[in-house]
Amino acid sequence: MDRRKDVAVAAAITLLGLVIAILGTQINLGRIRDPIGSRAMPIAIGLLIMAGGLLLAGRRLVRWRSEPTVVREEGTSDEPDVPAHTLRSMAVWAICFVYVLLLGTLGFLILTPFLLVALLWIMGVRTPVRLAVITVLGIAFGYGVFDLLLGVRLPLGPLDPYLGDLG
Amino acid sequence: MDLFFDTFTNATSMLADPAVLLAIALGAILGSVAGAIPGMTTTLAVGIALPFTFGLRPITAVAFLIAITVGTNYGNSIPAILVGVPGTPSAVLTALDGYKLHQKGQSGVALGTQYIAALLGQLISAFFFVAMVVPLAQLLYVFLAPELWALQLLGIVAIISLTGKNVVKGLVAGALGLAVTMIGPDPVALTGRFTFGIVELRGGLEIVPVVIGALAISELIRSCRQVYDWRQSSGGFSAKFPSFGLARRILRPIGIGTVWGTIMGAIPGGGGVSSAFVAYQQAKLTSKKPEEYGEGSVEGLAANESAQNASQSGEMVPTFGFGIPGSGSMVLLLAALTVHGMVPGPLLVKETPEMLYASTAGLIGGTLVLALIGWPLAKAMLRLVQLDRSVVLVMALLLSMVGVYALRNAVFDVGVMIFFGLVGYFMLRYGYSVAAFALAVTLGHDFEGYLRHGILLTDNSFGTFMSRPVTAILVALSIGLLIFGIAGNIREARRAKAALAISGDALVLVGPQPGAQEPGERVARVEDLGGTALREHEPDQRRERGSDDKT
Repeated sequence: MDRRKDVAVAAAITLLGLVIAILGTQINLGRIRDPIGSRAMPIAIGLLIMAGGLLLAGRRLVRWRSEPTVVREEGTSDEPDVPAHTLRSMAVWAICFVYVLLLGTLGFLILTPFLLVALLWIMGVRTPVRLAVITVLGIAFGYGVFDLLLGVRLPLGPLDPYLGDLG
Repeated sequence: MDLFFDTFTNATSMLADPAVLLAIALGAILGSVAGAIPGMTTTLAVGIALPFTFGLRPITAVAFLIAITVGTNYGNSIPAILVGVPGTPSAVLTALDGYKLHQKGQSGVALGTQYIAALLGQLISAFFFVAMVVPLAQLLYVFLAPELWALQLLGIVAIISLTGKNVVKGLVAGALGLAVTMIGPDPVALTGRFTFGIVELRGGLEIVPVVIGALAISELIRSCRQVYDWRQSSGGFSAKFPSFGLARRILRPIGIGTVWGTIMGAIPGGGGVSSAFVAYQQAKLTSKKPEEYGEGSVEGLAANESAQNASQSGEMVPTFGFGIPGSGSMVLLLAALTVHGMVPGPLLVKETPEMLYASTAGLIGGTLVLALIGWPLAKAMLRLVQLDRSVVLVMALLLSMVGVYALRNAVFDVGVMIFFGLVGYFMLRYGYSVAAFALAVTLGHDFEGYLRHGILLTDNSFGTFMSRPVTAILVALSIGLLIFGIAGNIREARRAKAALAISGDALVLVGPQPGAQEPGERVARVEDLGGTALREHEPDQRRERGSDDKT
C-alpha cells in the first residue's frame, strides 16, 4: 500500500467529517424537541469521522521519515504475480456511471450493448464474434428474465411505444 | 422449549411447500455453482441473487437466500481441492490439504471427506443455531430502547474490532455508515437532514442499493483491476467415498469444526475464515497425527470444512437473535427483509417467527438437497473454473444493476449503488471495513432512534440511561471489545515491524510499479528506506548471534 495514497484518503475523510459536522449545525430542529435533538448525532458523527481521519493521516505523517513508501497492506490485496491497474477499475466504474445517467433516456435495449461491449473490451475480450455473442446473450438474459419473466418494467427509452407492453 | 420444537416442525412443514422447496433446491444449486467460481464470495452471490427475490413471498425469499449461502460454502471447496484455487477465502485451508491429497492421487478421498464434513457440519450446526437463537430471542422481549441501542453498539463495535487490520479505520467506516443513514427524515423530529433539496433524498436512501454497492459492486470493481484466467484443470478424478475407518477418523475433527464454527460464526465479524483457522488449529492440537496437517491431512480438511459450513449457521445467530447481522451476506439478508416490509431488529423473531422457520428450512433443506445432488455436481462444477473471468465479472455487474433497478423501478437506486460501489472500492483498497460500513447503514436509523427514545424514556437523564444494568454491561463489553481490537492491532504492528527488522536486507516494492509491458519491479532495500526498526531489534539479534557462536 502506497502511504501517500493512504494519507490522501485519510485527508479526504477528514474533510468529509468536517463538512458533515458543519452541515449538521445547520439542520432545522423542527417542532418536536428531545434532549439530544436532530443536530447532535450528525455533528458527533462528523467530528468522529474528522478525528479518525486526522489520526490516520497524522500517524502516517509522524512516521514519514522512518517508514518506506510502500507500507504494510491494510486493504484487500491483489492477486500476486498479476499486473493490477487502478485505471481499468476507474474506467469500468465511469462507464457504469455514464450508463446510469443515460439509462432513463436511451433505455436498456439501446444502451446495454454499448455498456457490455465497452466493459468486455476493457476486460480484455477483443474477438468480435465473442463480443457479439456475449453481448446478445447478456441482453437476452437480462431483458428476458427481468422484463418478460419477472414483470419488471425496464426503461426502454425510444423503444417504449413499441415494446413497452411486452413485459 | 416450545419455540425450539415449533421451529423444526414448522421448518419441516415449509419444506413440504413446493414453492419453498423449489426455491431451496434452486438456491442450493446456484449457490454451489457460485461458490465454485473463484472470487465469487457468499456476499457477492447473495448480492446478485437478492433482486430476484423481490417478487417472492418473504418466507420463500429467505429460504432461497439461506440455501444460496449453504450452497456457496459447499461449492467453494471443490475447485480448492481439484485445482488448488479456493472459490471463496474461507476455503483457503481446503486448498492446502485438499489439493495436496488431489496431487497424491487421492482426489476421491478428499472430495468424499469434504462432502461428509461440509454437510454434517452444516446439518448439526442448524440445530445449534435454533438452540442458541430461541433463548436469545426470548430474552430480548424485555429489552427496551436503551438495551436495544447498547446491543446495536456492541454489534457494530464487534465487527469493527474483529475485521480489518486497523481499528481506527474500522471506526471511521462505521461512522461513515451511520452518516449515510442520517440522510432523510430525523427518527424523532422527522425533519429532513442532508437532503440538499433533492426530492429522492427526502425519504432517505434505500438500504439495499447502498449495501449492494458497498459489498458487491465494490468487490467487482476491485476485481476489474486485474485480468487473468483462473487456473485450468487438466485431469479428472475418481469419485470414491472414504472407507469406514477413515470416515470414523474424521468424526472427531468434524465435531471440533462444527462447535468452533458455530461459536466463531456467532461473533459478528468472526466469519468463515476465522472459524476455519481456529478449528484447524484445535483439531491439529488434539490430533494423533499433527505432522500430516498441511501435507494432505483428511482430519485437517474435515475440521476446516465443517467449521466454515457451521459458521454459516453461527452467523445467523446474531442476525436473528439480536437483529445484528454477523457478516456481509447476513447484512444483505436483513436488507432483503426490509424490501418485504419487515423491520430487521431484535424483535424480528417475536413479530415474524416464520422468518426463523424459513431460515431453518433453508439451512436443513439446502443441506439435504446437497446431500442428494452434491456428489454428482462436484465433477460438473470443475468446469466452472474454466469460465472466462472477465465475462463473469461483467455479467455480474450487469445483473446487479438490473436487479437493483427492479427494487423500485428507479434508475436513481442504480446510481446510488454505483456511487457506493466506488466508495466501497476505496474502502476495500485502503483497509476501511466495508462490513462495518454496511452494518452501520443497516442499523443506523434505529441506532439513533433507540438512543433518543431511550433518553426520553429515562426522563432525559443520560446517567439513568447508561446505568440500566443490561445497557451498562453491553456498553462495557463494547468498550472491552474495542480495547481488545486496538491491542490486537498494536501487537500485529509490532510483529510486522520485528519481521521487517529481521529482514533488513530484504527488498520491498517502492512507488508505482511498471505495467505488463515493462518487465521487472521497482524495489529498494528496507534499510535504505529507514532503518530505525532494525536498530531497535539489534540487541536481540546480537544476543541470538552470541548464543549461536557459543553452540
